[in-house]
Amino acid sequence: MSVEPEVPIVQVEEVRENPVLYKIISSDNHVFTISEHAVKLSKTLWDLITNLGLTAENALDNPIPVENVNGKNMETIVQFCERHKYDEEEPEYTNYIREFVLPEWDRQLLSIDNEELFQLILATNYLDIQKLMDYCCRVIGDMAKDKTPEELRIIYGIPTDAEDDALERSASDSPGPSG
Amino acid sequence: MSEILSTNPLAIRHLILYEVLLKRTVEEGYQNLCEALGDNQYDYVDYHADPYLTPTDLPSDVLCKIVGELDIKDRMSTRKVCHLFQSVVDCERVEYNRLAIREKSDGCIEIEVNDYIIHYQQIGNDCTIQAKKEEESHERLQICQKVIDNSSHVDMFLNDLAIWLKPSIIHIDCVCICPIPEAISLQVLDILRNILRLRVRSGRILLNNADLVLSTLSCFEPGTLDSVWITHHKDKRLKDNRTVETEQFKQATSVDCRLFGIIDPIHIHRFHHLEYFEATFSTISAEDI
Repeated sequence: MSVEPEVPIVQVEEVRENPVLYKIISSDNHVFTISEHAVKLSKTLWDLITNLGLTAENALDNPIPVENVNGKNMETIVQFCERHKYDEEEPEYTNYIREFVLPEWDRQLLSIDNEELFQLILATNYLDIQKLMDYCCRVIGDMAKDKTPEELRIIYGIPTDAEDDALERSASDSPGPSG
Repeated sequence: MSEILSTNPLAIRHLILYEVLLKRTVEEGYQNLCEALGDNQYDYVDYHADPYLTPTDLPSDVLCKIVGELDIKDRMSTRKVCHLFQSVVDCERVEYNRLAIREKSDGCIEIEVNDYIIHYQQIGNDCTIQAKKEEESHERLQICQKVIDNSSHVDMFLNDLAIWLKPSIIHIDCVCICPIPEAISLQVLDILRNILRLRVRSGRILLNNADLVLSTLSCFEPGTLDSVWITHHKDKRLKDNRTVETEQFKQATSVDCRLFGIIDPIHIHRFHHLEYFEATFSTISAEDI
C-alpha cells in the first residue's frame, strides 16, 4: 500500500518562479518590481526592507523610494540583481586582488558611456551591491589597460593638474554677478 | 581665450564644476559661463543638465577598488594622471606576485615586479632604463627604453623602487633580494622599513652581510612569512643566535639557511616547529635529532 504525502511536493524551480516581490521607486518616479532574492544583493535595500518590516503580504503595497538613483540606473541594477540572484556566495578572499572573470552578459550590460558608468557606480555604491561594484571597477580598470597618462586623461575626461589650476584661476578672476 | 574655451568641452565642464563648487546657483553659474565664453555659446538647458562626472568625483574607496584592478604598469600610468590618482595609487594597499632585486655582472641593476623586468644601466653620465615584459611563453618582450640625462642609475632604481613600495600595506608573494652593493642594500632597507605592513609569504635574502640579512628579514611582518631562504657566508660560524630568535623565523613553516652560516647545535630546538628546514650545524648527534 502506498502512502500519499500529506504535503504537496513543490519543485524548486516553481518556488523560484513565485518569489516575494518588492516595489522600488527611483528618483524620477519610475516604479520597478524586484524579487526578494534579487533585492538581497543590495545591502542598503535589504536593510531598509528589514527595518521597515516589509513582508510578503505588505511588500507590494509599500513601495520603497530611492531618491539617489534615477530610473535608468535602477533599471540596470534590477536587471543585474535578477540575473545574479541565485549566484553562489562569494568566497572569502585571502588575497587583495579579486580574481574573477567578468561574464560576457555583464560586460554587455556595462557597455555604456563613461559618464553613465560613473553614475551607475555611484548608485551601486549607495545601494551597496558588492558584485556589481566589482564588475564596474573591472570595466573601468580595463579601460586603463596599456594606456599612457595622456590617453587616460582623455578617456576619463580629466585635465592635467596644471590645466585644472589654470581653469580655476581663470574662473576665480572673473567677477561673479554679485562681485 | 573665449574661442579656445568654447571649443573645449572639457574646459567648459571644469568651469561649470567650479561654479558648482562655489555653490553658485544655476542662473549665476550660467551667467558667468556666458561671460567667459561669449553669449549664446552654451545652451542654458545643457548647463542645467550637465552632470559632469569623471572618476575623480567617485568616492575614494571606489577609486581604491578601481586602482586595485590595475596591474603595476597601468598603476604607474594612472598615478601620473593627476594628484588625486597619485595619492590613491600611493595609499592603496597593493599585492605583488614577485619582487626581485639583483645586480648583474655588467653593473646594471635589475628589478622584477610581477611580469615586468626593468634594467637600470649607467652609460657615461646618463642612465638607461629598459623595461621588458615576460609573456606566458616566458619570452621577454621589450616594452620601452628611455635615457635619463645626467642621472645615476642607482638613484633612478631607488626612486622607482620607492614609488612601487609607497603604499603602507604591501603583500608580496615572493621577495628575492640577491647580492647588491652594501650601500644600495642599506637604501633598499630604508625603503622597506618605511612600509607600515610588509606582508611577504616567501622571502629569499641572499646578501653578503649577516646584519643586513637580519635587518631585511625583520622588515617582513611576522606571521605572514611562510618560507625563508637566507644566505650570507656559508663557511662562517654564526656569532650569535639572532637569526633563530627572530619572530619571522619562529613563525615560518619552512626555512633554508644552510648557506647562511654554521649554526651551533645548541640551537637545534629552534628548528623543531618547522615542517621543513635545511641548515648547516657545526656538529650533530643522534640526541640532537
